[in-house]
Amino acid sequence: MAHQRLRIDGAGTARAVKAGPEIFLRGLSGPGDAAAQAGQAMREARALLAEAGSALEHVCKVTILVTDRAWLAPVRQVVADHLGGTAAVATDLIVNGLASPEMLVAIDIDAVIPGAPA
Amino acid sequence: MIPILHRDGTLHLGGITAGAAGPGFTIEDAEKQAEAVFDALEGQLASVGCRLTDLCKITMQITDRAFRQAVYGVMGRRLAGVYPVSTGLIVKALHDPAAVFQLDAYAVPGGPHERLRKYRSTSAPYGLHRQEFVADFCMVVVAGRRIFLRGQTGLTLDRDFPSLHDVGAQARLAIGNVEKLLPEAGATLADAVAATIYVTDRAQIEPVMQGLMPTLSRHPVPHSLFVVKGLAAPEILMEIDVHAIRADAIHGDA
Repeated sequence: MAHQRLRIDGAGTARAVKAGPEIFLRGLSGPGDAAAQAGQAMREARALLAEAGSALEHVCKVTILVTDRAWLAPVRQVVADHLGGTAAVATDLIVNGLASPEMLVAIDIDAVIPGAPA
Repeated sequence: MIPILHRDGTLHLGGITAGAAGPGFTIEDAEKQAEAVFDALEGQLASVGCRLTDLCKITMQITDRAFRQAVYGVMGRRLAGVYPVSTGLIVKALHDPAAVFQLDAYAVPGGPHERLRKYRSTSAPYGLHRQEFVADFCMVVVAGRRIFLRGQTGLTLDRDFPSLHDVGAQARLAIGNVEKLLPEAGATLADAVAATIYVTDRAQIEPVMQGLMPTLSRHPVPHSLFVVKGLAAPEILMEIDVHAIRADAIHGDA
């Protein structure tokens, strides 16, 4: 069975790919300030994971990309609030820019899907 | 930071910095930090019963090109004989302001894994030039159904670098390399699950995406895109990481 691709857009990008018991989300963000962008990213992550039969409690790895060190603390707080007690492996990087100048934050997530065949 | 080994067998290791090795911004400090990072990596692997030979992919994140030789020298010694695939980034900063080097890694228990197109850093150019450090790498790690590729650039698989100053051509070459390498691991771009795209200048985003998307969009995947300070060599203007999982090897499928 081919991988399942969630929410394919006109540019030929999927918002997520589900490969058996794993799901991959990349480049999540949103409008507003850094905290708002992170909040929108995590809400989208929650929705995409739910669509694939997963949830934020099954997140293994979170990569947080920010364009300024000042955004790191508020963004981490938002991500932690959404993850609750889930202990995910985390990588934070301060980068020179993201896909558009308005983007201050992008979040990548690897998660598993409980009960899916391995 | 604890590593996470999920029931299906991918070991996620991330954001490893030197911690107690402390601040410092000299070459010697970078070496010390790198030693401490690889100590931590070995400790994290051991804590879940894994070994260095289970390592598949490393992403080396350094804050200044000046530290590259020192950090990679340590890496080459600490991972001698492992042959991971590697992506090397020079980034604006790391979460720990005292750190000049951070490591992300993926491992899969049950190694040693199949490693295709092994090479030694001293015998292979990065962009136009060979680099001085000694390290063993490969182009593709096949760990069961999981396929990890070296970050691909405008460097051809024959180690030529024909597209100096042409980032669009570098992007087309890079995705072309991905298309050639995946079949060597029994996969195609239809097995790709995610991509990460690095560019060295915002102005390069458009030509890079124009170079990548005609191929990448045939089997849509999510991607992350960011601007870094630099890649393995100054003339390398873009890089793409593609992670794949062979769909035909997922249990329960025909």
